[in-house]
Order: sequence, then structure tokens, then C-alpha cells
Amino acid sequence: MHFDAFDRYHHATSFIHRLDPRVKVVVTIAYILSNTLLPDGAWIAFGLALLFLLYANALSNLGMAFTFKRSFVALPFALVAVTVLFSIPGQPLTTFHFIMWDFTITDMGLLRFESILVRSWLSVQMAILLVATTRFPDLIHAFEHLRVPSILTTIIAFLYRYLFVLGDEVFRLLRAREARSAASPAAAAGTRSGGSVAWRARVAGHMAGQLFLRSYERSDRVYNAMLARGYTGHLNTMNPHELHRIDYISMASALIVILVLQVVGRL
Amino acid sequence: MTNVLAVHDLHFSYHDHHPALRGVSFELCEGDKVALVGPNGAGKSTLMLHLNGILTSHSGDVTVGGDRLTRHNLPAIRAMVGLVFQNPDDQLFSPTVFEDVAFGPLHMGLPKEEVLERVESALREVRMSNYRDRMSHHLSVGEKKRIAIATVLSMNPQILVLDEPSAGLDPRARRTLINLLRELPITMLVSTHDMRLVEELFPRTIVMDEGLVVADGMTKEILEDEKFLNEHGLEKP
Repeated sequence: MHFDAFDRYHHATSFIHRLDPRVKVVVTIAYILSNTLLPDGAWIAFGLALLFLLYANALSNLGMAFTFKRSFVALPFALVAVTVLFSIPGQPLTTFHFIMWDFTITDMGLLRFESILVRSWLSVQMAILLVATTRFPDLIHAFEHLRVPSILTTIIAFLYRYLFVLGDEVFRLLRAREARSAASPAAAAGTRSGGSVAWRARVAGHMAGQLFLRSYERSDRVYNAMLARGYTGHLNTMNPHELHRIDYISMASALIVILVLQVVGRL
Repeated sequence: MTNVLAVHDLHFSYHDHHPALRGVSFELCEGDKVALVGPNGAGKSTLMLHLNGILTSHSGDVTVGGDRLTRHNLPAIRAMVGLVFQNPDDQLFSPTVFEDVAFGPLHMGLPKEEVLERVESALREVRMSNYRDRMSHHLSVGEKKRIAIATVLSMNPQILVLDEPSAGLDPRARRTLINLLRELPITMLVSTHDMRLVEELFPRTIVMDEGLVVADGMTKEILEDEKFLNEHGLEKP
């Protein structure tokens, strides 16, 4: 059994899948930055940004609604922005009473809140599209090419590699517990099985400790395996990516569109 | 025939002062395929970690290709002794198969063209050429084992040292691995509990127990002596 919960790559053959990962990373970051910088209530620009996103969706052959369906994971984080409803000065719209405080929603606050929602919603979708169309190792290569410090890319690469191994390990531990979580025959007669909460918490604690120990020992063995193949403290990687004409053209046009978005948003 | 590996009077204790090796000596000639057997805790893995200097001993020495292993020639020795660990998940630490097989050659500072060439030929040798761009965590155990062997073959080692290569494999994967080991034209020291594998593949066997070499000779003769095998926690195949 394999633990694949973290793999977000969706295989398809499309223009977006074939693009160089660097182009995708740069455009995604530029797009997110652009959304952040657009002024509150720049609805036309936000609308254009949505069109841009939908166009990218269409080009990826994953379906127009692909990122939309997955975008709701970001909603809980948008709740953090709820406070701006009340904290921005402006025309009061409505006031409500909560326990012992009065909250007043202002028009400016509402505008800011809506803008933040739209911004994060659009940005998250573009990020989802990026990881859905780019294999994870390619993403790491893109970061390496873009001069992200190698210690960071190395940590991410190892994290990615061993997340699955650890995930499998957790599954095995849980299954081993499951297999022995029986009820005594007396349980049918009304005895409660499962043990006390404190006892179960202790078991869970032991499992976490067990997992840590196993990982710690594994890291030792992995390091030995690296040493055995000549590791000396500096990680060399080879990433055979090449930028083609089409990559340059796509990146340039995407960045121009994003620039236009900014201009439209500020008119 | 020339000695490619010589171990002389090797002693080693872990931090808990438990002696793991208590004076191990043996030699490997070029082209030898030797099995290393013995019960759990006999010191087989500890010995293997000494062969390319991951553990270094308090006394005794390891000589590879005529050079005594020291701190200075460690990188050169590591290129000569290819060590394959028991658990392929420890051995394969890169996101893709290609990167794992390229790791050794890249660290040897080889030019890119040669790295590519070596990766291709190592994968060809273990018959996994079309796995190049696969991600390691999606492979089966048998596939991982073969890739793990490729990761050291790409360094063109003189000696291949394998820890429990057939552990956890289904009969078909085990058979593929045995054929692969038989065909690889390289000096080999293989630690294993798989006595049928020993009988089939290795003309010579070294038996270890409690940190000592207790027998070193023709596999056929060692496997005949049932009393001796039982004494050292082994079984006649």
C-alpha cells in the first residue's frame, strides 16, 4: 500500500504540462503578486485575472472547472480576514450585537474583505494549477534554476521523498494498533472496551515517539547511503531542462498580460 | 589473481562498548563472488560499513585495490566499493530514479555527458532503462532493489557489496535479482540469510558469528556440515 495523499500532479498532455517548469513558477508567482498589488475593488482587473486563470485552465486540458473545484481548501484561511469588516473606517452599513460587543460593518471594510477573498481565491487556484501540471521533481529543479538556496531545495526534495515513506510508516503503525484493538468477549455483556482516554493518549504518544525514533534511525541510514556514494556535504544535482523559444514567448506574453492587469486595475 | 579487497584483523565496538567485530580478516580476489552469512547480530552489516569507510575501525585495516583505507583516500575508495543497503528506501533518497542513479557519478565530479552515459548503462545493466523518469516511491520493492544496485553500478565500482539483496522479494523478483547478480561481471560480497541463494550463486562462503569469521571456504563443503551450520544459527538449504 502506498500513501499518495500529497501527490497533486495530474497527468495530461497539454501545452501547460509541456512548458518549462521555470516559466510556470515565474508566471504563477507574478500572478499571485499582481493579485496582491491590485487595489481594493478593482473588479474589472479581477475579472480579467479570472479570465487569465480560466484560459490557463483550458490550456492545461484538465477542464475549465479543475482549479475551481479544488479552490475551496483556501476558504478557511480567508476567515482570518473577517476582522477587516469592522476595523476599516467608513460609512457604517449595519451593526450587530455579539455577547457584550457591538460590531459595525463599514462599506470600506466590506470592500476590503471582498477584495481579499477574491485575491486569495484567484491566487490559490493558480498555485493549484501549477502543482497539478508540474511534476514535483521538476518544481524543485525550477527552484534550483531560479537560484533558490540549495539548502532549501534539498530540504524540500528530501521532505517530498520521505513524506511518502513516513506516511506508509504511520499507516503501518495505525494498522498494527487497529489489528489489536479488540473488544473482550465480555463487551457484549456491557463492559466498555477501548480503555480510558488517558491510556489511549499514552498509546498515541508512544506511537509518535516510535515514529520519531524510526525516522531518526532512518535518517542515519540514508546519510550512510549518501556517504557511500561520495557525498561530501554539497549536493550536486543535474537538471536537464532547457528553455525553448515557446517558453520564452509564453513567459513574455503572460507577464505582459499581468502588467496590463495592473494598469487596468489602477485606471 | 590479484587481491581487490583485503581486511586484516578488524576490531570495532559501538558506543555501548559492545564489540561488534573482534578481529575479522579475509581477502577477495578479482572476480570472486562471495556470500557472507551468519546469524543476526554477527557483525555482517558492521563489517560492510567498514568496507568503504562509513565506519572506521579502532584497530586493523581495510585495503582496497592495494591502497590502505585512510581518511585521505576515502573518496577514491568509495568510488571503488559500491555499497548497496538492505532497505531500498534508504538507498533511494532522490525524487526520481534518474537523479538517484546520477548521484554517485555527479559527486565524483564527472562531466555531464559521462554522467548521462553512466546512468543509461547502469539502468540498462539492471534492465530498468524505461524507469529513468519514474519517482522512487511509486516502485515495487523488487524494482527499488534493482534501481538501488544501479545507483552504485553507475559509479563503476570494482567491488559490489550487497546487504540482504533478496530479503522481502517475491519469488519472481528474487529470481530476476539472482539472474542479475549472476550476470554482473564484477567482484561481489553479498550478505544474506537466503541459503538457497548462497548455494546457487556463490562458490565461496564466509561465515561470521559473534564478530568473528568462523569459516571461510568452498560453499559446498560448508553447506555439507549440518552440525556446524546449526551451531551458528544457520540452516542447510
